[in-house]
Amino acid sequence: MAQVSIRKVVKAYEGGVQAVKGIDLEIEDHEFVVLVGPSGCGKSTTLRMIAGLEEITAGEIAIGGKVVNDIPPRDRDIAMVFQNYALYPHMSVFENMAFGLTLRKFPKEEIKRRVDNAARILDITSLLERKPKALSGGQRQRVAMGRAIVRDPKVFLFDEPLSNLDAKLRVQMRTEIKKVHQTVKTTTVYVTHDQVEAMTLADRVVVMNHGVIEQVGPPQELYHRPATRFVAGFIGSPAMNFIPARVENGSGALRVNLPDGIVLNVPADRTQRYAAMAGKDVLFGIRPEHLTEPKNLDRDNIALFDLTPEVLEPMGMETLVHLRMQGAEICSRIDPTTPAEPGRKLRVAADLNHMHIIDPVSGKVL
Amino acid sequence: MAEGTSLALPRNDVPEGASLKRFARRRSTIAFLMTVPLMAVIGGLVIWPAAYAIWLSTLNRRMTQFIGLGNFEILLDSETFRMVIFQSIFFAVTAVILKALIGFWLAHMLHHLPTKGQRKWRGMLLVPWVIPPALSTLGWWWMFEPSYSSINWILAIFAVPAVPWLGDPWWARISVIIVNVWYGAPFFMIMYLAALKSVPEQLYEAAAIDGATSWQRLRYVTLPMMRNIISITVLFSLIVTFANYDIVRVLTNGGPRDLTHVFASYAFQVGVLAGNIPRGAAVSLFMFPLLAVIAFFVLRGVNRRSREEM
Amino acid sequence: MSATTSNRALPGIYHKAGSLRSERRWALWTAYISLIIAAIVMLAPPVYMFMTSIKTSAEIADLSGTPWWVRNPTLDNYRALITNPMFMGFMWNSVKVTVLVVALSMFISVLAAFALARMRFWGSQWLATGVFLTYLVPDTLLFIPLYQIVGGLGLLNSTWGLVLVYPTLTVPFCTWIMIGYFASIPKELDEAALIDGANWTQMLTKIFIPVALPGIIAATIFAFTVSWAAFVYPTAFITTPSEMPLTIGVVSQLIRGDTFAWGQLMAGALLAALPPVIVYVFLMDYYIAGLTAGATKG
Repeated sequence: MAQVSIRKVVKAYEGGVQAVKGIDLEIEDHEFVVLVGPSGCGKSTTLRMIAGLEEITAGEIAIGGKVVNDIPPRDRDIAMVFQNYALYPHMSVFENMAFGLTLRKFPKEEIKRRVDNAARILDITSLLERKPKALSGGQRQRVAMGRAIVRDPKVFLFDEPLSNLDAKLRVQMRTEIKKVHQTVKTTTVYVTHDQVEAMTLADRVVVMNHGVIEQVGPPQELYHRPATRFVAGFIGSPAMNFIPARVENGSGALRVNLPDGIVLNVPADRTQRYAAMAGKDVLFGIRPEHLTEPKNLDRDNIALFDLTPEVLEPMGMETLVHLRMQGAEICSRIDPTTPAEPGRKLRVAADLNHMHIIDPVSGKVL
Repeated sequence: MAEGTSLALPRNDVPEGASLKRFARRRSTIAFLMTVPLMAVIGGLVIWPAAYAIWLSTLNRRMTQFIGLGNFEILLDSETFRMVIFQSIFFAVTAVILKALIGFWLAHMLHHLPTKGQRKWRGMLLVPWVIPPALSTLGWWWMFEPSYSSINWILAIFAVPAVPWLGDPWWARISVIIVNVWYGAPFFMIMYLAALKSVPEQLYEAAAIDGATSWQRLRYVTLPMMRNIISITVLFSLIVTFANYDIVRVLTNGGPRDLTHVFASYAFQVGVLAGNIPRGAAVSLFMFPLLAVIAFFVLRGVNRRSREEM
Repeated sequence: MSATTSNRALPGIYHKAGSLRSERRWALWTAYISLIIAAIVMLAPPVYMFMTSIKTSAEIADLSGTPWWVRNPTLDNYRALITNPMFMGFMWNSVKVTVLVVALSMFISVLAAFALARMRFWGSQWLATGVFLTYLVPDTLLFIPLYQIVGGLGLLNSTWGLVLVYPTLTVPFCTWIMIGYFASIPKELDEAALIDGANWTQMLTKIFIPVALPGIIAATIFAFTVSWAAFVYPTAFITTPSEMPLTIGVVSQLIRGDTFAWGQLMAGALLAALPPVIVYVFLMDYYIAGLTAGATKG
């Protein structure tokens, strides 16, 4: 079995700086978990602690049920794919992939079998005799993955493997990685700062910030029900709009007062959830995709109001409209055929079924 | 940097019809002029003397007659000179091997330290290289001096009998090697340390995850990555050690009985002290073939390195 | 790229995983022991030279105690040297020759390196290779013919002869270092300067020299150290003490007859060795950069 358990793990450096401030995470066998977050959030440090490349200051990490705190990397039965590939420049692709097995004195036929198999999965069979410097970035990354597959380890660790590739190649390789996982099914821990990679690859996403875990869950859950302001603003591109607002008690219903005199009615099924914030200042959150041109007007909880666009960004399949509201800049996504121009008031429809209220003090999404 | 040789400078400051001026302003001309002093040094102070040395070596003692390879024949006939050849090779090879090993070991030890501490150790260990060799050899000479030898005093503490450092031919040769290794090992250490630092950390991490022990990491990652620097440094040191003069001159002056002479010191003795310039030139030239072969390998190594920059 | 990975100041892998703790400890212990032994060996001779230099002749001759300690320290040896006009003459000669040679070498090298690194002209590749090859030609190969040539020019027994010949020791390597530094400056700087209206002289003085300053400092230190320590040429060319620089002066002249004034000899050697050591102590990083530049920027 190849679960990974992270229990109350802390990573502190000389001088007291804490990169990881006590995190707990249970990763199931065969699961693809993505650690995502901005630079310095502790995701790479956590990965390296799982690998054994960083000392664990406190807490314990267990792989396959066995605590590995004091076990060197080579005995943890893991494989890692690095951002800079870390291929041995003086060895051929075959030798690079075979290195781990050669060190452990596997028989030659077994090595050849495994390398050929991995090369087939990754479609690099024609490259086996080349040296790394004769390969492109994408090919090198595949070789790095091949080196990991060949080892048949309990866990795959990926440290921002796609950051060095250009945008188009990144999209391609993302799919490759997903396919490999579906074929080989090894437990995978994947680190990235790109939330798109996280959303598309993960069974579960772990959002980290400043050394703590903000939220863990399947991508859809993080998208629809973010737990904190940070997660709400991090997941989804373009990011969620946050508008300073005030919750008021109206005649039997809650209302949200936005700047510029816009007043929205809280959907009935949420009145109880937000009741405690009546009379308080909050942040009103709504994603650009839920601020559209007037459509679906027969549905409940659609609010209409007028705002003035400042900048239009035609994307082809939609147009991003940046609107000015007093105290906030809002982004909305409208159908490209809707007539809109900067300076002329535009009618937008807000789908309040997807609204969020955030307590600015605690940062929690209610 | 890669523009053609006939690029003229901005046209607005070239008067019309001044073709000579235009020629003078051409980038290639300016560039050429800038290298003239260098070519003067190389041509006049290196190439010309080298050719002149070849000519000199074919003359007789008073430089009045051409005697062809006469000087070389006389030298090869002389037992002393044959010993000089042996001594030079023995000295160069032994010293370079020791310097390379010690330098590599020390570089590795330094590399283990946290970066902050490395600096002061590195500073201390490089001191032998910084002191002019003629002067530090004076210190060694004093330490080896038979009546007062401080080294023998230390040996006496361990009940080891006093060593005739400069009196016995073999011990004298070993003394010369000791001084040269003391002087040169720090250089190897510095070069190898720089090479060690240039191996990407992630390769070691990947190797550790792949299952390598420290010895295996050394063998499969460190040494292959350093191979080029190791060979360039060794070859370069071979040239310099082979042509060494300072240490032998100050420590033993070739003695006892000319049994520690190397090419350079013997050439000095024969050419300048004894006044036989052509023969002295011949002695020096003996170094040339070996140095040329080594230089060829150095050049090849350096070129390969710059091509290999990934 | 990933700011998280590049911002870590990682020491060796031996410092990270707790599971490697015992391996790491053993490695650190071996390292410290080796380095302490090495430091003792490397520093013992200069230290002993210093100890001798502050002993009286009587104490040196007295073989009863340990030679590795000073009982009655004295500065007499140093005083004697500083007041000895011949010794100060050595010092002056060294200073004069070194300063002139360094200036001359840097002028030649910087100019040539700039041309070779950034301006393509016919034969530049050959010349650059030639420079490197010249560096491999040792002074002991050339000193006999140069003895003749310099004699022919009437410059034997003169510091001017040294100034003429020392550049063979310094110019090739200095040029080589500078070529590396100049070549590593991005081409876009030239182009921006050209658009801004600079000519080649202005580009050299206002842009390249300031940007390549570390390389220039390293090369200057190298030229200084080599000139100061030169021994072969002075030994061959100069026989009158008044023209001798320190290296040959201390070795040959501080010995009177059969009795060596060891205290003064050591004091003289240390005083002569002082300038390069001072330069090293204060500019150690440039010093080392100069050494390794040949290989890493090769």
